[in-house]
Amino acid sequence: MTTPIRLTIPASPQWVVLIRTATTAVCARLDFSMDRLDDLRLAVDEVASLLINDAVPDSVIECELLAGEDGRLDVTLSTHTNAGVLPPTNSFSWTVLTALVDDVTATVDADRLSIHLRASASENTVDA
Amino acid sequence: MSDESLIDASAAASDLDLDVDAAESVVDANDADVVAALVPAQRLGSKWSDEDRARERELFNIAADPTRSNAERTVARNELVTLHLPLVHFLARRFRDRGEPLDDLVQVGTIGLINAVDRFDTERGFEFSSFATPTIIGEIKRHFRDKGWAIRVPRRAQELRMMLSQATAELTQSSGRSPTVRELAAHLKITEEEVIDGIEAAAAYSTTSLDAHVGNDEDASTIADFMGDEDPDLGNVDDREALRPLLAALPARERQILGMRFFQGMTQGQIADELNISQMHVSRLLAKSLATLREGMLAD
Repeated sequence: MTTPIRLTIPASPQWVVLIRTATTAVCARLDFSMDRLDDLRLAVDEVASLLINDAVPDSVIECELLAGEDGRLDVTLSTHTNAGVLPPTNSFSWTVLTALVDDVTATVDADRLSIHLRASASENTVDA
Repeated sequence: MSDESLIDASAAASDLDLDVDAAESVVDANDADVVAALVPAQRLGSKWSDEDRARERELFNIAADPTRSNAERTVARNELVTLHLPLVHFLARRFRDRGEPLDDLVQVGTIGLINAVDRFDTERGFEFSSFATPTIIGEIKRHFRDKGWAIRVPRRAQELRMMLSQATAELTQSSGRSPTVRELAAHLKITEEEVIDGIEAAAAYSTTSLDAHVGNDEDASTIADFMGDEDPDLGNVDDREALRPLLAALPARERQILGMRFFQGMTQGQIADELNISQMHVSRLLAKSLATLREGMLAD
């Protein structure tokens, strides 16, 4: 599955469910454990609300899900913002994101803010 | 959750399985007692004996005593809840002809009871039952108001949600790790698409039913004592000043789970294990807490 899955939603909380569900479906295909899947869903939620909060009125959130062959999933969400500034990396929100996924980066290009998440299916052990 | 009888007791209490954490732990801990306590609901009409009253007072003292261990206090709290379940049953019956299964009303009423147990202050000299009654009725009424979720989440999805929660617990137990969607589908003999539907149904369920709970916990600071030194270290977080009151306002269980996940780096599965609740439940509580914190930060 090397074709990226792309989804565009209005920048409004009520449509975030579509991004979550798409993420779940791709994670399932990559054999993510429920632990990791739920973490990524939380992360996607967090990023989406971060973006919705900064988005200019009537804009959209673009989401791209790209599955790698090694069980890795890259999720990029972006939107048009007024300020075009990076979210602070020393916020609680960022702390949460870094705990939920393997890697999180934010980039700004003109007024477009993109947040990229990387998560992988492997490395899940529960000490039973 | 591996014990069949526990599942039976929960199912009997409600096939909607409103698993607010406290309700879950109470029912799990003591299902025989729960059932026993539900039967003599009429007992409410008779006077409590002096021994009953003395025991109640003793339990409240234990539950509020910061020098006791968390385990002791939890046991006392659970016993208090069990002791007053007949009151919930009695009140729930008053609403039973309004199209909701009585078992569901008992279950949401139990949530009200748990909140009342947590907030009761013996110093004020009220009878606990008169203090708890409005809280329990409030929770039952809220349930009627919140019925919207059942319309949005179809019956089949509710069943799926419960099956998934149970299967996740079983598979985690047997393999020692969190299962995949594929494994869940195989275990339940359903398609992966159905599992995915169920995961979303679980999330939709929590959003509607749990949001109603937010802001209902003005006395959280007393519960905060349960946390003790487990308060998350917010050392490097820049917005910690804004966060602190928001964290303090969260129910203790949620704060504890946030700390375990984000500051102690435990996985959802490990937290579920440690707290003896389901992993899906951990996930729902995390989602709920994060949403609450987000709203709080925005409101600033």
